[in-house]
Amino acid sequence: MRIGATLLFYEGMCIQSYGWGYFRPLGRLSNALSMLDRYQVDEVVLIRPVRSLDKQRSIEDDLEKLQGAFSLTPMCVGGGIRNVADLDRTLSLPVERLILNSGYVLLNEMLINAACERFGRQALVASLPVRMGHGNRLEVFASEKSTFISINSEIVEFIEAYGNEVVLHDCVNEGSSDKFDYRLLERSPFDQARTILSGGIGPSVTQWAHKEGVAAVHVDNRMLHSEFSVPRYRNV
Amino acid sequence: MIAVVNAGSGNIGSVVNVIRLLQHPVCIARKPDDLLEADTIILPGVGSAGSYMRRLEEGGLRSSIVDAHRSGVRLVGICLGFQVLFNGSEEDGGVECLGLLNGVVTDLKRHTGHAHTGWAPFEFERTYMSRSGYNPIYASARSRIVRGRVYYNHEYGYPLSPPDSGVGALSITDFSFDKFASMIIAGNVIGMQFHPEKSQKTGLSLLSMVL
Repeated sequence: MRIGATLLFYEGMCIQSYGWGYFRPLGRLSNALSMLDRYQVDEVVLIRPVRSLDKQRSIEDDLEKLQGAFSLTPMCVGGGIRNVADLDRTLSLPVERLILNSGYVLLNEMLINAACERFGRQALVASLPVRMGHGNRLEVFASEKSTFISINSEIVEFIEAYGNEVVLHDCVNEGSSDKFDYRLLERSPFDQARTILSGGIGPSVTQWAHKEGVAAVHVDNRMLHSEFSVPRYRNV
Repeated sequence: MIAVVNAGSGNIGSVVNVIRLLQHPVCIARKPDDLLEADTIILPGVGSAGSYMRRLEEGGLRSSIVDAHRSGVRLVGICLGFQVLFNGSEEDGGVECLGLLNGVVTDLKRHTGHAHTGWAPFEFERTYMSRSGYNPIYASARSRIVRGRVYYNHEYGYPLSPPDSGVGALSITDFSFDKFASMIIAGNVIGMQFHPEKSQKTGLSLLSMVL
């Protein structure tokens, strides 16, 4: 199982996030990437936490700043990529994978096909910020619409056909440690060997995730503190 | 000069960054003229074989790369850039590739049920290159062996067959994928299914040995 780190990137700098509502500055991206290289984290996911509030100028600025990012660790980028022009901007970034939400959840076949052509299907990751909804049904946040919707069979089939891996992001416990809601994985219709868990990840959750056979866990906020870093998660 | 071919797919920046870190001269090749000064050509790769080959063709780079190879220029293929060195690929319904290595790249899912994303152990000895007729130009590494782990992300691969065995072909050291090639060295061509530019210390050590 891979141990990855999620870095939130907004307006030119890294931020810590608590429940996607409270943000705190974390520092320069170059410093964060350098530390994660040193800790030999398995992968880094750079997310722009923009939801529906994104402006075209903002994504252009952020992607331009990401062009200068340097890391010897596999990088995945996402957040606000909603059209082919945005996709083309990501081509010049030093990243290997894309993480997309609205394209998958809203079944945007044109966008996902364009992403497949540019990056290959093996490089596409579906980002699913999820929570337990009414009647213990799994609901996913559709960023572009800023609302939660039920995960139906159409969405599942679309992701299975056009994506490699799926990130189940516990958006209720995001930013906290060891609070990932186990029910999210139990209710997930996706193959666990292709599932990445994120949000509320800590050592105990990592140990459980390893036993469940998931592909990876992505630790947020804490991964940059050496005392919480990769060896601690690997040793569990 | 090391020329990194830009076929309109992702990840070019990562490859250029790591070559700059090694302090080797590097340029991005978008058209045939950009290859004229190259002694080493890198075909990086994140994308799909069909669109990759189509863009090489449209940009006039396909024949230039083949001509450069015939004239002795070293070719280094990475991931998809490795796969397009073969005669063909099953991706995108079947694609004719550069034909610089014999064989056809096949769908991993038919053998293993899923794509290969993750890290696997890796070991490489400098002598593999000399035995296979490959001579690096910039090699700055003093060590004779690279050991560590490398990063893979692919859903197509080249299945090794008995004629491929020997020092010129390494298999993936991951049980589910060990029938597939990790690396092939043949004359002035080196192909790597993994991403050395994203394989941290191991990748950096390997590139400082083979470039």
